[in-house]
Amino acid sequence: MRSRVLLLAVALACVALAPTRLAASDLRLKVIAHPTRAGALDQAVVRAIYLKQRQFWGDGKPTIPINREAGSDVREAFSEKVFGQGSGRLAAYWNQRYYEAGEFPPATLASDEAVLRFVAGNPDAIGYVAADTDTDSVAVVLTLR
Amino acid sequence: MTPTTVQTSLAGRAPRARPCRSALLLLLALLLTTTPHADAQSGAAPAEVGEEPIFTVAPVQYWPGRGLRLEDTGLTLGGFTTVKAETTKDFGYEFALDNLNFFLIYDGLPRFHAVAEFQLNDIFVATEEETGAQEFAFDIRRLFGDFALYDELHIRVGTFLTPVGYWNLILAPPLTWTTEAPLITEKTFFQPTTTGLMLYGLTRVGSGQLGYSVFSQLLKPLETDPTLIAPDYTAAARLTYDTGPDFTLGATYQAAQTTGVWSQLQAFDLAWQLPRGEILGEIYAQQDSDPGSQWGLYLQGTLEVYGRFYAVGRYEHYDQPDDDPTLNMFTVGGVFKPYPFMALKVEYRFVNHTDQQDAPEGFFSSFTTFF
Repeated sequence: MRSRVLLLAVALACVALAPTRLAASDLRLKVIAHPTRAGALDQAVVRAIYLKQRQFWGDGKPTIPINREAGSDVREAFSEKVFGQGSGRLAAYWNQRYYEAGEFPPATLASDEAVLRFVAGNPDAIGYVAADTDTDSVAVVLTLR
Repeated sequence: MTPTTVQTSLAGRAPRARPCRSALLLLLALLLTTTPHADAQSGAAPAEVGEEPIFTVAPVQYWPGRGLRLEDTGLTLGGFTTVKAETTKDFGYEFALDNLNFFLIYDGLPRFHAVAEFQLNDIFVATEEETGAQEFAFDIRRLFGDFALYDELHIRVGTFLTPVGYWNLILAPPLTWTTEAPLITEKTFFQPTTTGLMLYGLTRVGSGQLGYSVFSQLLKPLETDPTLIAPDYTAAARLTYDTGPDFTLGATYQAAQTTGVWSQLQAFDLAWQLPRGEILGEIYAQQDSDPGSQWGLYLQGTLEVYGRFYAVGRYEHYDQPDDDPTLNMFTVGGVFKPYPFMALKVEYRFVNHTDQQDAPEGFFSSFTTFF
């Protein structure tokens, strides 16, 4: 009996620790901000901004993180590289923030071009695009490989 | 295989069948770990995770699971509801439209937002003794304003969820994996809301965030629940450390004065998301002269079995004050989440003392959703 319980526990542990799917893609990404925000950010800062844990830039202006739409390749790659999980699993985090504090997830835009335009036109915004996108109009603050 | 051999096998009386069962278990584990199943929520559509409205009747937009937003005003009206059915060993069956809660959220300014939660409880209850809305109650559950001065300093004023532990911050049933909450989280050690003031914030430490909150109950609670014995004053502090949404560790201390008697509470909590599961645990200890010292813990594991189906198991231990018996409980169940903001839950709770009204042994099920 004990060995069967042990076997079942091992089996369940295998399932819990197994990766949900193959790594998100080898898609490389650039995290971008307005040219006035030029300067490198590290991954922990970007993660804190996108979780709305860090809500202000150093000068006190509010951070405005912009996501691509859930399910898109760029969004899933960003989510797995920065949070270690797919965007769907992050929904649980946002459900909690919504209930506990009335917080909403970052706004979404439906293309890299739209993200570029928004970030280039808004000094407080931060976004991300595929690494092969032309980013002359913005500052690249982090590259995610 | 004849019916007889099936029965013998299920009873575990056929030694030759054991390797077969072990092999089946291993095969099941291998299938579950290697099958490239649809990781349903990872590839979710925007509307499924509440990031896109599904209809707009200008100027109102409906975002699934996140309510109705009135464009350009910063106002959102949302909420959740739960329908519950249970049958327990000593207390019979119960069917209930358990709660209907509404939120009114204002987030129109970058440094200020406000939340109000209105609660309708026991809207309809059917038991072996009675049917109707005899215990119907309406309450203002929460009402607070949040001022963000810096990332390191926010001020919350009003009635808010008491941030002792982890479960008390996820009190909405769509956020939890079981119909029944762990016993120690249910009004036993502290009140779910605090009416007063909280200072809180986050700062980066290493690759994670160190959070603090200092809070105090200074006023009488808004909630009018007659069973609520709210403390007159509390003084509390909480520290957390998280490395993103996947790992959080917390420790809380609260001193409370209730009708002139002080009590002290220590709490520790852990929430850890695994690639296909989650581990959650809390331990509370309280020193109180009336009714006496008590402590308890729970440890809960959740496993994504396939797509949107989850298995959940939880062990609970509660050392009650005075001479009340020590309770050991084990809950095992399943959850289907068609969307991240919706859940259908079934579970069975085993209890070592089945006569405890606060923790009956039995079958519990519920359907719950944010709307």
